[in-house]
Amino acid sequence: MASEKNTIMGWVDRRLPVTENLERHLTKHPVPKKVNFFYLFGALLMVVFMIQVVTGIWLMMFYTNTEEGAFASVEYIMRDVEYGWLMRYMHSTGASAFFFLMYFHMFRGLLYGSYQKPKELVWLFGCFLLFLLMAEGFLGYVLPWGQMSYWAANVILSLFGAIPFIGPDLQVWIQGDFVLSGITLSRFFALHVVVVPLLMIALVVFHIFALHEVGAGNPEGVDIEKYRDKKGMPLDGAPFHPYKTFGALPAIGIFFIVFFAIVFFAPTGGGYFIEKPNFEEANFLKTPEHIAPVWYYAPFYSILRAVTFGIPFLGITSKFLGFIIFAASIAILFVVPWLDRSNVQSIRYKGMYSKIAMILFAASFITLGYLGTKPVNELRTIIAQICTVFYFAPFILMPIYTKYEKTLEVPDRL
Amino acid sequence: MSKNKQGKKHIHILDGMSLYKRDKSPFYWGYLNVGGEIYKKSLKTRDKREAEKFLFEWKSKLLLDKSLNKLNGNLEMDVLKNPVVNNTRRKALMITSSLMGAVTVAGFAVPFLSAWNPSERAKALGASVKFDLSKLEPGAMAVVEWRRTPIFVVHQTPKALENLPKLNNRVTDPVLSEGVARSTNEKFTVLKGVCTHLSCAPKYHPEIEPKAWDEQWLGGFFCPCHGSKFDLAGRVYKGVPAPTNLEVPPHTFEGDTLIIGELT
Ligand code: HEM
Ligand code: FES
Repeated sequence: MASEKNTIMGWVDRRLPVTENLERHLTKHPVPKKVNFFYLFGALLMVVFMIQVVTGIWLMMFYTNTEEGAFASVEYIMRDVEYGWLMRYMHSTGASAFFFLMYFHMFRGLLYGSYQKPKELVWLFGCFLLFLLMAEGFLGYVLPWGQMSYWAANVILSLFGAIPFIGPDLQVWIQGDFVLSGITLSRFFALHVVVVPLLMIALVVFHIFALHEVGAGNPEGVDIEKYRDKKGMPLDGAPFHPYKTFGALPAIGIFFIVFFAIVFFAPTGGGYFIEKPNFEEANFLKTPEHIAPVWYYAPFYSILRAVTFGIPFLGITSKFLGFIIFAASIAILFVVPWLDRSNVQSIRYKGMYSKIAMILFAASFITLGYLGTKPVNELRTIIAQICTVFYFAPFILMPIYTKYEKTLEVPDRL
Repeated sequence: MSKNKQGKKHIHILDGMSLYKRDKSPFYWGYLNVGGEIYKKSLKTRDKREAEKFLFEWKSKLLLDKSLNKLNGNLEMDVLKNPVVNNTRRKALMITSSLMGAVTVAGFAVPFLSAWNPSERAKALGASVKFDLSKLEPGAMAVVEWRRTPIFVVHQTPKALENLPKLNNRVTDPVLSEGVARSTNEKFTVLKGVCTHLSCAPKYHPEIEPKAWDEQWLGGFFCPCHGSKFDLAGRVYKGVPAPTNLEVPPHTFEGDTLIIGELT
């Protein structure tokens, strides 16, 4: 036992069980010996999270959270602060990377049934993290107080105003003013730099502890706990260190290469990471010609726009219905563990319908994302409406097709 | 070497302490007799020296646990000797203290939540503004700022006034009662430049020509955010995201002067 050792670490361990917990949760934690690249995104998400925290703290040292000062302080960071541009572009590119990795991380979950019993809580904490990340990204985008910051925030805040009865008051309460103003900006700053990140850190801890309690999955959906060696270690497992740590290093290396290539050569991502109008200061009398969200919100924005009709006899306006369906497109992810009735986990052993559903879902998500960045016209609206149906159908019909489709036999061992 | 009842070989260490091996296990097992109670377990090591060490540690831990238990036991006994438990009172205490706790939390929440309401300074920004209409050409629109909201003032052309009734069945709510230009003044329409969908400022497009969003465009407002269409009187077209007509803010005309906002 490490705590018996007559070393500094031993001294610490007798007072705070550092080594024991490190071994249990990190170095000696058994993980499936065979997984694929989809299983690297969790580690990369942690890396990006750290980039965001560190660059964010540095940006905070130069940023001014007032209506008069915000835009100018961002220009100051970009022009006068040494390496300020690097901090800012790392932070904005980091936001895009965060979503990119998050979407793949979640898609892995959908493909390999990683949300299934007993990993429901892992998935739920993950869904909360997605929600918080979306909030965090939105709050952060308001801070530079550019044209797009202002008008995008205006649209999103008006969504709250669309809630019947309490909506208008709720919107004023969130804004702290009758219109979106500097008052809103300062509170968004507090939420963006303190409240949401703290919640996210707590949730990441829960996410990982819950995962370690029930054990990580694998692309085959094989339960590795079934066969163990004499010490009780799974035969198809391997200790996290050095097997997974060294496996993740090349991935982190490749990630950094791509990440910094974007930071140095295409930090605005052609207007998809930071939009052109956001290099102009907010003007509350003039909406930019074409309002488009950054790419990572585009699919959800498309869903919002696709709802051009209400339910008049229930008193539901198109605006409120849009809000409901927009919210449902995220909310439905939370219940996926209870929609899947399949007796196998992985898509590799599921039937035809599951495969078709996954393809439909992915295709409609990407199409919605594309449409969300384009101006509306009649044809695009119709396509977006069809895609919205295909976004929801794989989930809504899941209890039926996963129960009745024919699945393949899952092997015993990895 | 001695033998226990199962016939396993024991290595004697001290009185009531020994090590032994079991058939299928590669490890040393420990046997302890502490105050007449027997304990056995695998020491999870193949090394005899280490096994001895673990056995001693185990024994001291058991002894410590035992003395702690005794202590706890005595404490428990004190309570149990006088079993004057009044469950009704206990329950009442639980309920009142939870209630008081809830009230305290709610009480503390009030200032924190109220701090988010518009401050007195924000509320004071509601004064009315004046605008000189004489310089506004027919067909032109001015944007006046009132309460940090854009107010659209449109000088309608005769052509526009002629076209507006033609749109009565293309708009959701023709509001015929409000008059052709939805205004008390024949020529000027005053609208809040806030899209009733999600609050973007719609664009003024008075031209009568086919547009990307409408083949038969007769002039009006187009919202760039989600494509809502309004006619020149701010009436919303059917089949667009915005549910209602552009709002008409409180306003009065005094000769050539337009006053936007409540008269004080
Ligand atoms: C801040 C964001 C997040 C971080 C830092 C994070 C981190 C991680 C890490 C390190 C792992 C283990 C390695 C791996 O399987 O990739 C993991 C597993 C997992 N995550 Fe996340 N995650 C995040 C967000 C999410 C989201 C949004 C979801 C889905 C809604 C999610 C669902 C899962 C699931 C189901 C697993 C278990 C996979 C399995 O073992 O089969 N995570 N996460
Ligand atoms: S805000 Fe005008 S159409 Fe949505």
